[in-house]
Amino acid sequence: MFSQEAEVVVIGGGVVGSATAYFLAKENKNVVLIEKGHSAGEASGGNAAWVWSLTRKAGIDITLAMHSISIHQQLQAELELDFEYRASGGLMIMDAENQVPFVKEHLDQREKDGHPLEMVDAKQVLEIEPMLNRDRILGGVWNPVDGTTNPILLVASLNREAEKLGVQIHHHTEVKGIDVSQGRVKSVTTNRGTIKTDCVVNAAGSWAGHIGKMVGITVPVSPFQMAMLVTERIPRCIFHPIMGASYMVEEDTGKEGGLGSGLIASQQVSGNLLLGACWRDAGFDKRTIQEEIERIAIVNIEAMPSLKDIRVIRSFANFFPHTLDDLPILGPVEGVEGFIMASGHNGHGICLGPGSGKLVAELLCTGNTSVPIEELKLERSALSVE
Amino acid sequence: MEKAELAIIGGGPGGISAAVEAAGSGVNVTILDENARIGGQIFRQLEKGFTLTNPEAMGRDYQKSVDLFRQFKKVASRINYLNHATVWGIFDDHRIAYGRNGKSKTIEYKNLVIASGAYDRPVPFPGWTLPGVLTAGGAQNLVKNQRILPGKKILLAGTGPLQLVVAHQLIQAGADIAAILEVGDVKGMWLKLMQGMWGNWGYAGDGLRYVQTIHKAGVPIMQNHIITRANGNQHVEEAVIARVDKDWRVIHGTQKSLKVDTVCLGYGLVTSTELTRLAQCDHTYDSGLGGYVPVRSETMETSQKGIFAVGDGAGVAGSQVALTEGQIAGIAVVQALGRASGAEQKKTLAGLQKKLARHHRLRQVLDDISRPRPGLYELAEDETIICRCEDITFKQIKPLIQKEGIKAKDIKRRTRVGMGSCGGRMCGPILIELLRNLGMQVSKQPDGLNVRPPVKPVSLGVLAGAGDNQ
Repeated sequence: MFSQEAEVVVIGGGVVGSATAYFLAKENKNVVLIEKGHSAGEASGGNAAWVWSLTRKAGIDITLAMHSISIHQQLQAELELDFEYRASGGLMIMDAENQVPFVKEHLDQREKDGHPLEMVDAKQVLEIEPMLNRDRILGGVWNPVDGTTNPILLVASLNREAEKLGVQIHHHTEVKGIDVSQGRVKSVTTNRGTIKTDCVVNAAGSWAGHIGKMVGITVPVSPFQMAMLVTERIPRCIFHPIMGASYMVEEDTGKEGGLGSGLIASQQVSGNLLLGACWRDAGFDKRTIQEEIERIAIVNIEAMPSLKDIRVIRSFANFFPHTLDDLPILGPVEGVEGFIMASGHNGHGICLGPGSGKLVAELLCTGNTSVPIEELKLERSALSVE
Repeated sequence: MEKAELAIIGGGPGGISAAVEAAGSGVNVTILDENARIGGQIFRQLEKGFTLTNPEAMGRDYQKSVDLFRQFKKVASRINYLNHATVWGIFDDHRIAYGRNGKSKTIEYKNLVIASGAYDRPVPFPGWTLPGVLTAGGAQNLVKNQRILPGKKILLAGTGPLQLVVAHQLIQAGADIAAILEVGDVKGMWLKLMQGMWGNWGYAGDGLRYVQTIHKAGVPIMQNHIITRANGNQHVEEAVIARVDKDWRVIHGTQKSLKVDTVCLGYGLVTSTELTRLAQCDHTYDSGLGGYVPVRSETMETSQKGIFAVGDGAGVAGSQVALTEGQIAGIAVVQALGRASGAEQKKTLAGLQKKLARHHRLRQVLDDISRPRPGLYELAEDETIICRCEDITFKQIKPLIQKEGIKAKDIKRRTRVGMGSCGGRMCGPILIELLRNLGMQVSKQPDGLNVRPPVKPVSLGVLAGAGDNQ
């Protein structure tokens, strides 16, 4: 039977919405989760599968990441279904001189902020990942708290536990409208019925703007595509998530209409390699293009020449909810009481999702959050287009 | 980047006849074929070094293929035939990416004919992944390609006249066949076949010859029988068979076992739609066929302008239909390129379409016989593998397929079914039939398991070595 009423309606069955629903249910809230497709059906289901903080900037960015990593650990201990979370440590490699000053600056900032990182030399890099091309490595950065997970299992595990706690999850259900009167949320209308509620969490990711419109607000979140390759299963040869430091230099490539690329490599528990990445503005198009596939292969062969005979079994792309300052939008919205934002995780949703869910649940249950989220509000100046 | 007025994917009868037709009218054609030589699966030529002493053993199709190869030779100067070419992607802007000789290359086409063929319908039952269980197509491949027998004591299980063809070929090659199980009703089949044969006399003659060979060899054809299990330690040692009702459901108490070391499964063919799906052509579920087919116009054009689909890849109907469809598509391409005066071509086209209608009457009859019935997909037990690449058992997907409103895509997300190296070619059709058995509505488009390039595994080195694309 379709839900009639709820204390909180969470829109979006990705990692953010699923974590929000779970943590609310733990606090005895009566929650309904609405998902237009299936849980982890969009960006939460197709991504690098990393729990990664190495490149997070000093300030709120790294604070959120560190908080969320602690929540990943908590979930690993308390959820029944294993989601293959491995805090193996993460590695960034430098292979061009122009990367060095950017990396040094990043390390300085992080040190000052109380979240130091460890610089390693070429020899140490090769000890950590012996398969890397020894002719190209200049050095790297090591971060012991980073690792990988299985996002689909993580979401499935959160959903399973939430359902046990009474959360009603409606898949293939689309939100058609949100009734607001006198500045307060009253109900959510879907293609399957209307749910009375005075609280809605907008965890719709790239679709957060569509949901925002329903209550008359502009949510500046846009889809941004990232493409990756999946190889056949092979014996373990990559031990940690590896990122190329070109990301520190060319962070904005692709955002101006071009095609950005950089090294991302890790190996899943199943043995498949997940190799990336290219990114570009492709709207809501999930298809991969030939250039992306070839560029990713080139970037990875340069970094790990011994992979040349490994076969690629598919490519995939997803679009991440992008915001102008690369930070998520979290918290209440001025003028619409009961409407809470939890979207715009910029491709860091897997790392940040559990923490964001926890913070939103705290906000709704106590009015306070254990990490201050004031600077993540929708009304912040960094998000205004002018 | 290479360019082609007409690019053809697949060197089987459909692809070759389209090439012959178009090249004959002056069109420059490039054929991308995965095989070493033209002919595809049905007109497979022997590997070099094997000589054919008894062409009769290869069936009538072999002789037909000789004609086609002769025509091909005449226009070969206008055909760029690329063997060992694995197409891994079809992209916007009329581009095809393929791997060949360790390099990835791109070809830009004006028109494209996809003649990707079909593969044996996968049917899961306990023991279907044991060594010694192979598909009828696989057995045919061994016999036709290398004259190797697949085993010492062979059981054929499946449906439709294709089984008789395989049996004929195996017997001619000296095989010992324990029995041929026809899951359908043979008596009804022959009656219907006679109706379908009207005007298709070539097929009737073939069929009679096959049955004669089988009778002479003393091989029993057991109608309304199915294989329910293959047993053995490391390899097939025994097959359990049973009688079935009209829905192909096992009648309990009729099980018995046969000592065999090889099982050849022939439950018909499933279209290879990866490429038409990648090209974003519209598809529809064909319940007669039990699978998805691209939607096509009278001239074999898909919903994507300039992209044609012919032969078994567009609707399993055999080599005669593939030849005719290829020819029609070839003429349509010639017309699209403005290379022909309309009148004569129109006349030819009308004749070919009439021929096709005749073939289709037979096809409908064959479909009616071989269309998968519910019982076929009720054989799997908890430990039966559904997805061979990812080792997913029936037990893992059972609770999911019973959920209301669930879609194939959801099951993929939850279990990784279809995420292995075959790209869902094996488990995709199984999943769809399991869902259909439970009364689920099958979506119009085969969106359940998305196709993403590369559609065939390609090495990173090949993808990275794309040198000529700038």
